[in-house]
Amino acid sequence: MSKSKEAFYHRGTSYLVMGFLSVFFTQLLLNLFIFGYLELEQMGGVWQSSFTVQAFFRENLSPEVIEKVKEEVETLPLVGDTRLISSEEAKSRFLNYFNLQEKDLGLEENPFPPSLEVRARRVEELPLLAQELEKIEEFEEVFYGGENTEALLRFYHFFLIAGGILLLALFVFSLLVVTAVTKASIQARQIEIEVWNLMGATKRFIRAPFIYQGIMEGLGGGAVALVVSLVFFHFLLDFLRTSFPFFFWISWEELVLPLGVVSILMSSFLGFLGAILACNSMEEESAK
Amino acid sequence: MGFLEFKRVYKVYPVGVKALDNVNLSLEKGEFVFLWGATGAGKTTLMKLITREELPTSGEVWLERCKISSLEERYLPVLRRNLGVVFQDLKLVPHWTVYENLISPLLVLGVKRRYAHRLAGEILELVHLQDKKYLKTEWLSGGEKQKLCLGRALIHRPYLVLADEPTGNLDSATALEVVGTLFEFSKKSEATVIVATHSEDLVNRFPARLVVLDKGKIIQS
Repeated sequence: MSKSKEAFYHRGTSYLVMGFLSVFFTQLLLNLFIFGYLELEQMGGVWQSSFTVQAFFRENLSPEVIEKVKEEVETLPLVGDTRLISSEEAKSRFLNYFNLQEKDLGLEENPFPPSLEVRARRVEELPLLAQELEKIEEFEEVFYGGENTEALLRFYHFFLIAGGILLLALFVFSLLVVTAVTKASIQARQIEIEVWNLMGATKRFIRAPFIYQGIMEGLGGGAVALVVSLVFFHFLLDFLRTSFPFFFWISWEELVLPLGVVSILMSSFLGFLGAILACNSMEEESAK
Repeated sequence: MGFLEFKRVYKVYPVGVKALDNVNLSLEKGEFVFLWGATGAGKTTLMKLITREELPTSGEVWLERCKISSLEERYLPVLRRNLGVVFQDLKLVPHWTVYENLISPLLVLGVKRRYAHRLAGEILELVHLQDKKYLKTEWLSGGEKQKLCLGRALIHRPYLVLADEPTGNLDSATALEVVGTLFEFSKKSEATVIVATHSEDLVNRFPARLVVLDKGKIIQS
């Protein structure tokens, strides 16, 4: 009888179902979280083109110095791309924006300083990028902003923190359920364990079926959660694309790999860890 | 030093019951021994000291020059794999089939399935349970369970067999058959066999060494 077969040979199905369901629901929620994260990434990627850091040069800098600073900025790791806005272009933008003529300004000199428009690689790194740019002496003033940026960043951080906490809580809850289920399973098999012990079975031999059971429950729960999630997201994305065509929705194909990898690895790890904890706990109890 | 040796062994249970009182005993390899005594004489305790289900309060137990009374916990599986035990309360898993219970020692030893299957066939024949192979153990009669337990104790050819009241609930014919099987096994495989019993009739039927226990003391060896 192989160990994997042994794991299910005389096992109460109720224990298996409980373990399976706990992993399944955790994984389902985790998949929802991953979907939200990837979608936000996608939107952030598209939106970041409209979020830039404006760095205004000090007065009286030569074009060579400005070019050198631009090159220096481009080497920074957080920088996506840069665009130099000359004094003339800045003035022209201003006039266009307010629909004015040059004579309406009534100025002898161009008051608009040249500036560097910098886009971050990732939208959430805008504040960090702004901090980096502030360190460069040639810049008089650096700012980024707009309500959209701030709101997006706030939401992004909130999503990450809340999602992280929720995920951790779910993981712990699921771990507790898997551990409790495995413990119940071990208790239900006390006679067998006693017999194995008296036959000279090692701890490893006795533990093996329970560890296999944990991994199998995890894998099973994870795999079913993956299938259910993918089917659900397929219909959800279809609906969202039809209802909100101007948003940038992630494609279903892009979800398959991350969800697949996380579902399989995470759920089997969860099952494995739960089983190990249960075995340790039962051994400690029996040693007392 | 003998194959199995008890040296000044005392066993007092926490409630204050003195189960063994200065037991000194030496057994040779291949011996067939009856451990005879009334209920509560200390037979089961003596057996449990060998399987290391219990530890002596004081004294030493040696098996093949290994002091098993102070054997580390992690080496217990090695000791137990070399023993064949017919437990007083049988210790069969009721929802397993006869075959599964029978081959459990072989699984622990990592014996290949084909070889385990062959050995199981031989033992089933020996204990006359061929036709019950795939029956759940809980459906067997008391005598059949006893025979199954005996088969499980012998299947891995241990060098020491302990049988604790193996005929307790059996009719005399089946009891004779069970002990006869153990006797044959001892002769064929040169294994040491210790049979704990309170049946005078059985003791008289086999030419074996007799160790008599009374209130924890060996009064005849």
